[in-house]
Amino acid sequence: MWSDKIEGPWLMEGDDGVTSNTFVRSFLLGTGFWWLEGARSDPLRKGVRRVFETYDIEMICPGYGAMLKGRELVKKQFDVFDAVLADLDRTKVQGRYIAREPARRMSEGAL
Amino acid sequence: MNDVSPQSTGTSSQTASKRPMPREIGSGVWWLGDCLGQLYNGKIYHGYNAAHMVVGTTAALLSDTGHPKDFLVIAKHIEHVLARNPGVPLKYLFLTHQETPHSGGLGRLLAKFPELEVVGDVSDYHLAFPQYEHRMRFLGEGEAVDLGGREFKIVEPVVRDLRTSNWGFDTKTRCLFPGDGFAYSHYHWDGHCGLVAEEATSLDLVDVCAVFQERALFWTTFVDMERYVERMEWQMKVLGVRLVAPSHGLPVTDLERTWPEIRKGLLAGEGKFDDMVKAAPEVGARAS
Repeated sequence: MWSDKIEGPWLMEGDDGVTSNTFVRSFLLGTGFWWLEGARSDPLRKGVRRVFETYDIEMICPGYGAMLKGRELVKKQFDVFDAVLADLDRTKVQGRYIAREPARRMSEGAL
Repeated sequence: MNDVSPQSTGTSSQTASKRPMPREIGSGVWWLGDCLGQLYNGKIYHGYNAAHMVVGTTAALLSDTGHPKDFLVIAKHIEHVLARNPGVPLKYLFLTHQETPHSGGLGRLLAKFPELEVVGDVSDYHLAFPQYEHRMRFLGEGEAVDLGGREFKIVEPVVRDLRTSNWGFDTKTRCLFPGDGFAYSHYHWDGHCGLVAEEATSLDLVDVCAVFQERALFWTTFVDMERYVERMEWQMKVLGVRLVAPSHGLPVTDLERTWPEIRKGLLAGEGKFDDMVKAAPEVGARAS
């Protein structure tokens, strides 16, 4: 979650109005996770699922963006993340060499 | 405490180098830095967090800063190289990417060398050092700086850590500076510290590639690395690479001999992280 205002809000509850499969997929591929397209995502999905099932998470405090509070919102984040990882798996998308350029720059509409 | 004297036979308490550092690995290309011990599979592996200098007739360039813990060592190494090339200023700093072992000396180097300019993908560095923003210049792939008698060119980062990673290339020695691209450890216990890959005859590249695949380039274990390896081969052919100066691995001076083993190492990583996921029931135990 980004904001164009320094004052935020930086704590989201309920529907953040942004999280969707398209948004999360674009963010991942446009940042440090370009390699996910056509990768083997199954082991990653298992690992992420294990975190969600092991801990009773009420809040997510990511390295970047707003904090996400409330079980519903947390569950939505995990569900969307899982769906995006599943759609990027090599069984659905053919793996390929992904060059740095075009860098899927967010300024060019990746998000 | 580290022995920071240039050309010492051991630049750290961990290192028992057969060859003194800094070491000239090609004409005007210097290997700087020190080892860092890493525990892996019950053994202490060594890996470099190297910096490299490329010295032309009018300017010198530093590729990566090395690890912050090695700053005193690397600063001495830089002085040593500059002393051997009187009148050639350290003018450029190229950073392969923003991780601490590669860029962690940025602020101290800019303070120490007032003429120094950072070139390449300089995203975000101004946020840490706004006072030096005017000394940071974007250079894209294919662009170069002239060092006098040679150019240092920004080239495609085939295996990269970050969105902003870049690799470098010296047109005189045909030396590639791939950052983490040829990342592998070496055996301190066999005296590999300070040796080039071809001198470290007991080095098992499949074994030592695995350390960095797990620790630094975990994504390479999830993708079809054959495609990336093919791209590396294409790039080396197009550029006419003859020498490779990686940040963590030992320099490669005979690609024909060493590349096939590195290739095997890069391809051997697939599935390694799967085992770690399977072997993580202790996550639940920790939670309780």
